[in-house]
Amino acid sequence: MSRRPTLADVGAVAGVSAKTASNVLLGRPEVSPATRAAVLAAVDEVGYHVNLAGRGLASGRTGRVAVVVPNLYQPYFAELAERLMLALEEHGLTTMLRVAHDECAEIDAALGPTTQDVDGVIVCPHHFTAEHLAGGEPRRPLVQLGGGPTDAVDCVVMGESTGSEAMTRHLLETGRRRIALVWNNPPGTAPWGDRFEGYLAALTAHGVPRDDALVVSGSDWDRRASGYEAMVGLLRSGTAFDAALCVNDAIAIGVMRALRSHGRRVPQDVAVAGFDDTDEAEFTTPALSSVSPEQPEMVRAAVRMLLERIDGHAGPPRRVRTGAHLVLRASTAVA
Amino acid sequence: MRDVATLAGVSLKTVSRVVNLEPHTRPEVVARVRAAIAELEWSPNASARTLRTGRTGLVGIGVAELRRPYLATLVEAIVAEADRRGIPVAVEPTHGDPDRARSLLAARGRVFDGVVHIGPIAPGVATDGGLADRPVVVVQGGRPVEELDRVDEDVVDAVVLVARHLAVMGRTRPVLLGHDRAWRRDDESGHPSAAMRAALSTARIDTDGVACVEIPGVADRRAGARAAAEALVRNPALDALLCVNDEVALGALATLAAEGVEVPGRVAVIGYDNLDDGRFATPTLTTVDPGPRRLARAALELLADRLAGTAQPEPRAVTTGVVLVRRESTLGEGQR
Repeated sequence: MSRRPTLADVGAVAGVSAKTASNVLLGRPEVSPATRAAVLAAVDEVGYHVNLAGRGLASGRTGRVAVVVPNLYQPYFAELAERLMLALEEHGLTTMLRVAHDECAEIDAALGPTTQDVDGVIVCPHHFTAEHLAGGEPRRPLVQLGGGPTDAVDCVVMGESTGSEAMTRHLLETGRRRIALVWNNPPGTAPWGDRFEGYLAALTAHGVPRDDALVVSGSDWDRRASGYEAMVGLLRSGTAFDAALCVNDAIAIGVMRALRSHGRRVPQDVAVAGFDDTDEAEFTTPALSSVSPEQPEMVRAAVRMLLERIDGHAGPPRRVRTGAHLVLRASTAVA
Repeated sequence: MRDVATLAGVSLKTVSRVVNLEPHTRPEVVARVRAAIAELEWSPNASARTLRTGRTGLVGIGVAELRRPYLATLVEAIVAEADRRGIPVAVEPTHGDPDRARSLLAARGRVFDGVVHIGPIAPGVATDGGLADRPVVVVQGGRPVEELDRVDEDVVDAVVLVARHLAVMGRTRPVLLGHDRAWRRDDESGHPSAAMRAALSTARIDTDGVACVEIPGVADRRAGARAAAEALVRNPALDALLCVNDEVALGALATLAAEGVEVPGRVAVIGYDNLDDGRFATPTLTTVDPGPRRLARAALELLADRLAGTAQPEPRAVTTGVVLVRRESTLGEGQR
């Protein structure tokens, strides 16, 4: 072969622009099914997906995939890990589960020495960013599931913005106006990210002004006790609020407990909403409204992309956006 | 490997770096080494290393499933303890399927150096070599287990602590949701264990009337909610629910709240496992802490001894302590 086929070659064969070919490979939704089929056929025809180096290692396959999670104490990650293991098993792959408690451990597990002898890695990150790749590409198939998307690798992007916008809208439509955010930004920093953007978008649409006094966070963002302490801080500040949108269910459960301990009734005085729709949300008192991130869909997309990479797909990094829907329970009932 | 190095025109060290995914190798060198590997069909995989060292360096953890929060907590404790000791681990869910347990245990010597198995090992699953070069340690397997090293928390002490707590607070008509944790296969099904009966008698609680609502299948919140509803129908005079685990207790709290039954005014609730959830429940949940860190430390100690060849030939049993965590679901409000 004189040179490796490019996206332009794919586009030429499919009769579309390189940009459209790229859209298909990135999994973007605005492509017609016919165009998608033409591009995928062209990808096969020109051999765009064939990664010669990757194929060379095929004989060294282990049939094992590493799944990296930051912890198991947060039910969201335990559920996700379990679902990934079952999905990988359906494809005859076994899972090596790595629990990475800090940034170093996470990067080592995703990219390096602590996950040898695996065919690929799925990382559910707390810390991983493009900087860790230092402009290079991962040396083996790597898919990121959730978290802030990284440019250099295949990513499954949770419906964070859609979900938090829908929940904020629900709170506004049920008469709440002062919606506190119990969030994940380190104390003293400004909030950011898709979930925050979704919240702002809903406020703007309802003409409710943003008030940063309503944004609080605890020492970390995934323990119930952090939700509790953040809510104590908000109550002590004297800031008036009638709802609390929490960055996840664990935080929301701490928040509900703090409100109760301080004589505030949920949902009469304060509506509380979480994110993730974990198993426990249904059985709290009152039961917790939450955003369900469509875990089965996220898992399917991640496994599919990883298998394609393991099979030698060498296209540019892809981004698959999954949906979210509201699960409304008593904690956000009309006051 | 020497052939790979010759063909790729690089040093052995470079081949090793590429195979081990170490950084600082130029992409074109990596490509050349990989091409050479492919051409020679050389297999840079775990089994090659196993042949060389006799060890895979990996320990397997067998666990029914991670969606049970206590199991996730225990697995996390074992992973943390293994990390502290520099032992990489892989977690394998077995879903209570003997075939899965079988393949996990058969992978010793190939994929894993040894296995830490959470919960009882199904009958008929071979554990040969479990006391020698291919060690197996069973955590919370209950008794009797196969002839293996094992670690359990002191479940008898746990039921004694619970019975005394009930008696001290004037509760005399408890109902069990699921068998108590001291219950064993030779105990009568649908009744408290012999250990629980002894503990209740000692606490001067009449054991004859103590019912047990059995929980078939997964003992989760939903099952707990259902079992609590059934208990209220069967024993309207009950004044305490002793739950097989915290998930069941949290489900029971949801039912009691929905039915307007005051906790602990009319019914006290006690769980088991000390899940983080219990601290934030309404009311907060009284529970038994089985000490996952203590269990994890003891299990890896036993395993490391076996792997180092320093353990005695006989099976060893370690019993770790438990703590009764008293909160609002038995004490009443204002105890935060």
